[in-house]
Amino acid sequence: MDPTAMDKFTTLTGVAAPLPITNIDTDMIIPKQYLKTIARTGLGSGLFSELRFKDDGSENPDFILNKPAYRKATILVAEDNFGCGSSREHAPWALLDYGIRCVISTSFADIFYNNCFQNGILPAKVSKEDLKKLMDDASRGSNATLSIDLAKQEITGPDGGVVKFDIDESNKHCLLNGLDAIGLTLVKEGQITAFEEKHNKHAWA
Amino acid sequence: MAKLRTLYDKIWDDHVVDAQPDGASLLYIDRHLVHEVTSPQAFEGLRIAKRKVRAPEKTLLVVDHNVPTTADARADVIDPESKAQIEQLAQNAADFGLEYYDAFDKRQGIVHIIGPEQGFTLPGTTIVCGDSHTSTHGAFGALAHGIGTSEVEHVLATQTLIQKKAKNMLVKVNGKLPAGVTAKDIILAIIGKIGTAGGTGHVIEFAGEAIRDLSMEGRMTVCNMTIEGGARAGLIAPDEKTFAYLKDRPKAPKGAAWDEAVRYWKTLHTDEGAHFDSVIELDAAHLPPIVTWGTSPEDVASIEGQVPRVEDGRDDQHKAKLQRSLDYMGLKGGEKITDLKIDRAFIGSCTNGRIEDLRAAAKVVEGKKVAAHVNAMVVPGSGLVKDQAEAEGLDKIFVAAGFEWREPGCSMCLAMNPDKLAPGERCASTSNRNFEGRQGFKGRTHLLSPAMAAAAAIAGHFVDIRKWN
Repeated sequence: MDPTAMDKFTTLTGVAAPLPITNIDTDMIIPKQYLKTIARTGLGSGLFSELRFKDDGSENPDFILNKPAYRKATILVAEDNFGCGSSREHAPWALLDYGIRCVISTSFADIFYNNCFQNGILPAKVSKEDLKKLMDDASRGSNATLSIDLAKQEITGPDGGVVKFDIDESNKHCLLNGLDAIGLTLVKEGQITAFEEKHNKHAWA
Repeated sequence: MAKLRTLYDKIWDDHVVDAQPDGASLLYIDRHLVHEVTSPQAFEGLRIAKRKVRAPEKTLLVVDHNVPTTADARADVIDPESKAQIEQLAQNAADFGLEYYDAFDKRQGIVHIIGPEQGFTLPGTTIVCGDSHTSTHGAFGALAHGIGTSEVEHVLATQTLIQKKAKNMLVKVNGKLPAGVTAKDIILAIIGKIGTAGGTGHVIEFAGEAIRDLSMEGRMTVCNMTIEGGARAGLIAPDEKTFAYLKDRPKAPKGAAWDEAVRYWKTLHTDEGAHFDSVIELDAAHLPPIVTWGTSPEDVASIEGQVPRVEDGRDDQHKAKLQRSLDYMGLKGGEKITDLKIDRAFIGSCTNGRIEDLRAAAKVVEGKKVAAHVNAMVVPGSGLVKDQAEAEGLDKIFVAAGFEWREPGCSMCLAMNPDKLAPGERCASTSNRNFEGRQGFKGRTHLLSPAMAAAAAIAGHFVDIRKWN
């Protein structure tokens, strides 16, 4: 396998954990002390650490991902504006390392949204009404299983109800095929060189 | 007739290498700033794939997030992870042949302060950095935004990014700012108005009399916090102030090249009648000094105002958000902002760590003393800012008043280095984010302007700078 390519995302069936918090920022997803790593892996231990752990380092039993039914969650359902704040790609790396492959919300911050597609994570945008339904579905403990089909852009709940989600064609294509963006761009190296030859003549370029 | 274009349209059009059928474009990147926290994995990716840096001369490396801000700690970084990250940046600079400012270089500082200072940031260019506050450089009429580490690697390898064009938002700030009200108050007021997701999917152009009247430092403060309003990039059309700031900077064009550049830069403005997807207007004349009370930059209050109560919430979701923020901040709701006592004051960051910010703060504290229960510090944004401040005697004013005078870096804006709040401490901070835990685990951050932070340090609680003497 090409070491530079990421995992594909096609379908996913798994436990969805509800996080009914607005503006979940990237400092909350992965606090700064975990950004000192020079690796991409191993960040799962820091995911939501200030919520997941108590001051003495023991697990906070009230946090959703520490509850028995949600310990193996692969999907998060969160309120508006998920991933706001810093550009740290450590946020999707931490989600991925913990085992989360899909986040469902009404909206995502732009940089976090882009970073998801570089890592095979699906950020699924749904309407406010549909989010309410999915938040209810995710609150069903041992029965909080959602099935996601990226090609069809559908999320199926435990009661069989289907919700549609938004994604644009190029992002969808990248996820479905697990493409290496740099490899794709380098195919256009001739065009980049031609552009540079003209552009670099400008005094300001 | 040619299509009427916004400033964003013009810069975008000049950088499209390839417009793809799926709506994405390959955009050429003129300037790439790199720091130690978001780049190691990108360089590692290049090594694994045996790729080189395509345009080393368009890439500038600096260490800022991790560096301690005391001279002793800088010389011997104790935290092994921080040390490894700093050393890795130096190694990457050497291995890939890139220009690098280490912690002992006078030109070192926060990445968004040194770019403009060196003339690396120029109007009409595209600028990226693995840091969300890259929006700062938009103050020069550059299209500048933060990217993730995978995109850092993409730019290093190809000098391009795959981008979809954003929507255009115009924020017009009319009228003249009253005395004591600053660029920081303008941007906090805008974020309060549009919300932290208000600019998502947009590039925001700032215009209007109050924006034109701002210095370059003030314009950088406004563009810096554009990201807190959800927009990745902010833009201000370049003008004579922009050119005067850049002239003779080390990396700015010189001689005939300068003249040619200025001719081009003068074309970088939105055409009269060009289309914006949304327009927001604000009256500067009626703005008060602003302090944030909660855990999102949109949680703004006038210095004359009060902390909101849970029952003020619009709906259940909003009430839950208010409750969470109040609990975290150790507030009940309904307190007068001026009654809130602080434990710490932090003056610095890429938002307010420039010379003009330090001058404003020094003016407030001159001849006064920091309140006995307050720990206050000033962290200049760069080595050159520090030198300038010392040449003007500002360091002596701060030290005499009881402030700590530090070495440059990001410091307690994000608390990756040893500068951080203890749990429960309340801080008057000139930085950009008041998120839970941002300045230290369970620390409580209130965002405000440099003069307001300085005054709070002296008084021991928030005060209205307009009534300061």
